[in-house]
Amino acid sequence: MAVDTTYYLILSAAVFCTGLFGILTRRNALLFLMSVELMLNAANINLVAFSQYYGNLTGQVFALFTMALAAAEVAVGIGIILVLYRNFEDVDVADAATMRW
Amino acid sequence: MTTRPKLRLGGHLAPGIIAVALFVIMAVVFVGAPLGDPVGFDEATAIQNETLQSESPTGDYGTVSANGQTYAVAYNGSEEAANVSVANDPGVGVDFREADTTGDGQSDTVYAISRTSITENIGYLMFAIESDQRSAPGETFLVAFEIIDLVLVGALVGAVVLARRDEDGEVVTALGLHSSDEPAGTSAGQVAADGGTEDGGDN
Amino acid sequence: MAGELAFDIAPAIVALPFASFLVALALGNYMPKKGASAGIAATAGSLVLSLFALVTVAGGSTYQQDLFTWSAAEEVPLHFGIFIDPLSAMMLVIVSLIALLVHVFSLGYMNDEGETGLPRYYSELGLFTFSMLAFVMADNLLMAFMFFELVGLCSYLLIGFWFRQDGPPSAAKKAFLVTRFGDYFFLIGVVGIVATFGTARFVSTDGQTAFPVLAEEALVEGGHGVTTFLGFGPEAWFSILGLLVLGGVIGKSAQFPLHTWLPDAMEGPTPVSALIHAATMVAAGVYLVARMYGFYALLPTVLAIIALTGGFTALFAATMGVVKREIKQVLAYSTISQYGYMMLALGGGGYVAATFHLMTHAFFKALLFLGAGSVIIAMHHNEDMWDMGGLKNRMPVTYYTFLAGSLALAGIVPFAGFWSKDEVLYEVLVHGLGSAGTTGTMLLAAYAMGLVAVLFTGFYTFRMVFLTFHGEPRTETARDPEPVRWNVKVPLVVLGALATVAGVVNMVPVEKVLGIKGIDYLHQFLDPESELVTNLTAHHYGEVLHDVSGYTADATAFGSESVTVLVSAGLSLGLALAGVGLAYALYGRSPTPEEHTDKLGGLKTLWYNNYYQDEYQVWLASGLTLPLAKVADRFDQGIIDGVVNGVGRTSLTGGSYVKRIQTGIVTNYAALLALGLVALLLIVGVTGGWFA
Repeated sequence: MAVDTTYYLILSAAVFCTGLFGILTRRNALLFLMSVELMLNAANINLVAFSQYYGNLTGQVFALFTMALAAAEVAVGIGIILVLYRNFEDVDVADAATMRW
Repeated sequence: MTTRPKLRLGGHLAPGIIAVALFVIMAVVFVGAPLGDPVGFDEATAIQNETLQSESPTGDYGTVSANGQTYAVAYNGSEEAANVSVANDPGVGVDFREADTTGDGQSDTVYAISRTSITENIGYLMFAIESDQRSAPGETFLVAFEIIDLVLVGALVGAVVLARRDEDGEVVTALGLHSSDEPAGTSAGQVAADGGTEDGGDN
Repeated sequence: MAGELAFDIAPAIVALPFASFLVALALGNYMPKKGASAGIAATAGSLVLSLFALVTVAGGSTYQQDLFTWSAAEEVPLHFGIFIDPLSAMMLVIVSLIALLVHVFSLGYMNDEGETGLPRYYSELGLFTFSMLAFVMADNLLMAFMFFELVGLCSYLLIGFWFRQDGPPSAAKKAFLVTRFGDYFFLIGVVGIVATFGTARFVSTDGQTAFPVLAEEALVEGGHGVTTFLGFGPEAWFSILGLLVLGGVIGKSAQFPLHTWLPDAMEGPTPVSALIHAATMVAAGVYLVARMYGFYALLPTVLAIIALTGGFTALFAATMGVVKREIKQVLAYSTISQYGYMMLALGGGGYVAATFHLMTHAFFKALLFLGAGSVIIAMHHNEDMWDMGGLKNRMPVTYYTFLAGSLALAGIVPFAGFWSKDEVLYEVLVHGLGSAGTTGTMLLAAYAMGLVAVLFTGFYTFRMVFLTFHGEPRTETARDPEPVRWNVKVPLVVLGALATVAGVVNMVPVEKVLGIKGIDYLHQFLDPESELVTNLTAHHYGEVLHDVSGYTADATAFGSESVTVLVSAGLSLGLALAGVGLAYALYGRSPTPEEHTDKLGGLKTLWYNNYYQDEYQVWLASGLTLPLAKVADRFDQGIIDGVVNGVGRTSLTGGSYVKRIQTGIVTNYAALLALGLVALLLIVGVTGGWFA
């Protein structure tokens, strides 16, 4: 009746790697933010899946908190993107490379 | 002319191979992982309840409400085998499950299950409410909830602060409470890394 | 009790010169006499207190007090403390007296001559006096070592006082390095003694036993409470320790072969020479041996080495003194020679004789140096004796005092030097005759050298006197010398009187020959009956020498004791008179003497060039040490530094490549991160069997 945990895990891996793919190939900061959200939610899928697996609700409650944190992260992330745009007239992450060696 | 998104292929996708590789590895690992059947939430609660033995796997079952109490009733053939009080609250849903305890491929046991909904349980846990209705195991999260509260407020404030900028000596906030007298962009000048103008912003 | 008062204020003896050092250093330029008054006041105070202490000690009490424990380690506590017994009290008086007279003399030699840098001079003199007094008072070997080093430092500073000229800085460096070479062994010896006995005290206290006592117990009763090293037995190991400490003594007291610094040290101001040679620097070495004589008395081998070194040095230096032209050079070699006598006495079992000679020599050598200083003032700083002559009538005070000093140095009866030198030779002779085996033979050999040196001493001393004061003036300056003032004459007169009569404190030959009992005051003085110092008396040393080292005095070798005394005294007096007479024959009779030493031919060249000691030491340094040092330097520069630099350069180069990974582009970081995760998963997965 219940779905096998393995499928949840593979789903979560897929979502995570999609996010990672986005981060590795995209240069738009907004898309970056979206990709990060994907990765974060992949973690959420795992939390819920294992909550089900162990019959313990902690995982589910934690997933809720993760969402709240994701909201905070997006708020800060958008703020950073705003400053990025203001300083570089662009939201290309490759532009902000002045703090290297 | 309308535009539509196009899939842009090329060398810039090369780093994506890492992501694909990661996926492959994780998938292989997950598929090969010796995970058993999930415990689930229903079974966990069933243990807390009386079990109704049924000699006949084909027996019928149902609920009976009487005197403000809900009873789970199992039938064995034409005979009522047993009944048991499952909850005082008439709103509690009762499920019945069959299970194979002897391993002969046939269901031989029937459970009557009182199930509080998972969402309700989450509420109890998140706000650390003690209740008879709580049926799923887990930790309480009241303190964490409060902390996340503050973090969210902090993030909100941070976002507003980051969105604030100096334009021609005039502070422009995200909430737009101050408006510049001059039209924007007349003397924006070069923008410096700290968000001010390069010449200090007081010209 | 008065004695306690004298001892309670004893630290002030040391503190006063130190205060004068600070005052002269800080305020010298604003003081009348440029700091001399502070030094004179301080040393006069020290002298008064020292005399007070001496009188108290003569009353039969001694004093030991820990002042400051600076390492309270349970096993080996290290501390500063003062110890006043007859030996140190006598030395305190000598040092403070000479220091006072030198300060006064400096008024004439430095102030009146208009020297610059006088505050520096007087502060260094103060520090010098302070160091020496503290050294004398030290109650343990480590403290003695520290002040020994400080004395070396001060002599370095003072020898190099005229640092703008060529000679003095180089002489100062030489003095510093040569003595430091000896002190290096001394340091190892100190560490060895502390490690062996767990203490470096000279005198036993309630808490700890003195190390000479421990050593004696170890040798007499079999080793207990001592730790020997390197697998040596107690006797061999103690001998090694004694020889190591002796290294420092040989350096400081200018014994062969580390004597070469002393003649060069004449580059310093003459009053400093007087201080160095009479009472402080050079005396420190001999004093140290006397201080720990209880330890050396246990070691016959070391004693024989001391005696041989001393006897050889006495003769060796005396021969070089014969041909020198400069008055201070002659005195320098006579100093080396006289300290040789003291070492000879110590090695020959004559503890009292050595102390006696140390005292009389302090008086007459200070006198001779100050007299030479007076002559140098008169001669406008020309030190060549061949440019002098005939000064007798023009500077009578200097002449008569100098003559008293010379007679004492030559050992002519009844001047102080006769009594002490005679006792030195007598002690060595009787111990040499009485002791069996090699010890006796070696002592007799050392005695023979010491005896021959007497002849040379008489000769060079009076060659100096005749050339300087007699005959016709050989230059204009000598015809019209610059007059000297009271501040030169007073010290000369005081010392002249002392050099004449100081011998009365210990007229042992008179006692023995005429049978008058009780006039060997110094013997009695150095044999106190205080509870504290039962192991530090001359009597005890004599017993130890006899019982442990096998020294036996045979005073009746020539019949009876008085005959032996007369033979010994007659021999040395006769030789001294022969030397004086030869000097008179060659230089004193003719008003215009010739350079008779030229007749010595190659020997003169050899002596004049100091047996080429300097050359061979320079060769040792440049021919042996320098190449070694160069190899070490190459090793250091090439291999040690090379490795270090190589590591630095490699990381620098590597870093300049690796830093390119830090592109600043966030995507690249993410890619590296992900790559790392993939690699980690693969590694963990493969090793953990996830893919099985």
